[in-house]
Amino acid sequence: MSKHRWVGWALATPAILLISLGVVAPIILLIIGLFIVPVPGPTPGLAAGLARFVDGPGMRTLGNTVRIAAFTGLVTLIAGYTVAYYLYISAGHRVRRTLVVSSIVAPLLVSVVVRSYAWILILVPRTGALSDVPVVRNLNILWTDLAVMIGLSHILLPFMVLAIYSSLSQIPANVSPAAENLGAGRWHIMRTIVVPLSVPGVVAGLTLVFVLSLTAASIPILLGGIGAKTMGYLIYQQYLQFTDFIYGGVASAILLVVALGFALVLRRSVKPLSR
Amino acid sequence: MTEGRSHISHRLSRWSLNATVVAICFVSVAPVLVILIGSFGNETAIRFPPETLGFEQYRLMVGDSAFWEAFAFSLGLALVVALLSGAAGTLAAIAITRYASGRMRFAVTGLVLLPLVVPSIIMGVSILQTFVSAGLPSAPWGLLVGHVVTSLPFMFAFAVAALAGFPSRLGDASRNLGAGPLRTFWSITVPVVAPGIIAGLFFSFIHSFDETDMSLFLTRRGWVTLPVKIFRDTYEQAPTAGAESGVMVAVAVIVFLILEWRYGLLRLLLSRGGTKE
Repeated sequence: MSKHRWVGWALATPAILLISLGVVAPIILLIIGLFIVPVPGPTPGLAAGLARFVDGPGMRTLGNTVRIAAFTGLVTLIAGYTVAYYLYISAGHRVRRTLVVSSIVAPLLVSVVVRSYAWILILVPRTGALSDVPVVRNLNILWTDLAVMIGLSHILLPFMVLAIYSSLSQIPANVSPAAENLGAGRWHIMRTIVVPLSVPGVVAGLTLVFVLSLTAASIPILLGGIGAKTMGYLIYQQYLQFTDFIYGGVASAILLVVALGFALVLRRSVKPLSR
Repeated sequence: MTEGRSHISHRLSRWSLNATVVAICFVSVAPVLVILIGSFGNETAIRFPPETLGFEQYRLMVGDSAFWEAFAFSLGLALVVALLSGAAGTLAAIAITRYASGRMRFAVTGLVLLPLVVPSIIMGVSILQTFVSAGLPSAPWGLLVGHVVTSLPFMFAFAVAALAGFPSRLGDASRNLGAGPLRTFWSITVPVVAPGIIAGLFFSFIHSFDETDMSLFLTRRGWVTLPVKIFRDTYEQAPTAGAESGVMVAVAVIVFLILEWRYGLLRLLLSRGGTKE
């Protein structure tokens, strides 16, 4: 038995080493770097960095990022729930389900840069795909927060669909027909059976989409226009354009805390709801 | 009774649900199609829809040595990442499906899945800072470590699913019939388990090939991945961005076809909640 255990640990060692050196150590170093300063940058010290963040545009950027993430979460929730519900009630039709899932999931295999570039092609004024539509032509959507929300919603939709569907698919197939037999209307079934049972999936999807929106980098930079209007852009600017690792580190730590904080709060707030 | 009225309203709401889903699916796929079609525009200023079709953008791309460098680097990196995370992930999966106690299983699984909760930016920034503190360039090794470590959770999940689905009775039966452990391994275990592992390898490959947010922070001159090059080209509105994006889409389509036709990826995603044997 103990020999068994020893072999197990030996086999798991490469993975354990990789994660420890590749994830745990760097993050610890990032946090330590807030207090001790091993990297380039003008103003040392955590307190100074925090002060710069709060006094400068940092709080506004953070608020903007949260706003974008909330909008993205809402849009993906509505669209994602619709698709997941459709998949749930089309349990018998293989072709339809395959088509729907393909069109939702396949774009995941394309890099986010490419999908962002696609939205630029669609939204750019004068030469874009939508530039012939009269309403859109005067709107100048690209390089605004709205463009970022559209791009993020499009890219994160598959995650929401998969999360909600994984909850819905666990409802036994005979529950809805049984309820109908007993005389329940469709809306009643939705309200009392489907929606409550889908809550875990909804929470998982919302958490995932929200965290990914908050911490997105390439998408808001390409779609949002010049000027660091999101945390991802801010961090990118600080590290790669201004080489201010300290300020960048502070911003990264704040972003990490906010993202994980939201995830925890979402989890907690659902505990009393699920049965 | 009220059959007639509820029947019509039922049909109407079903129809509007279907129409909405079709619209959502279209919006989901449309951008990819836009890229593909737009990359065949014959002007150097990219527009959609293109006025004339041609290969001008691809010609520009093929003549750009920076593209070939980035493409080759991304391909090679993705291959190495797939192999490394494949090896580490498979070994760890064997460890927890065959040799582990409950507590060890919990600890190892938790550790291997850890990268999933770390945002890509944070990974990029922290690895960059680690290398800079040590006075080392962040590419190529920082890139390699970052890619391997973020692919590892997926590879691990694929490998565990593949191994857990292998009934140990098959191995016992083979041994009972006289086959040695090595023979059992090659002729019985590997063919049953291999498809899932290979699917995981393809997944790790495309994950590394596509990776952007973390790589933005870790690339250096001479060690640029294709997505980062596309990012910069898009940012600076260079004309090669369209064709390069077309190449990325082509690779994604190939991997998708392999994963779906050979390994039934979609079936895997659709069939949840039911237990097999």
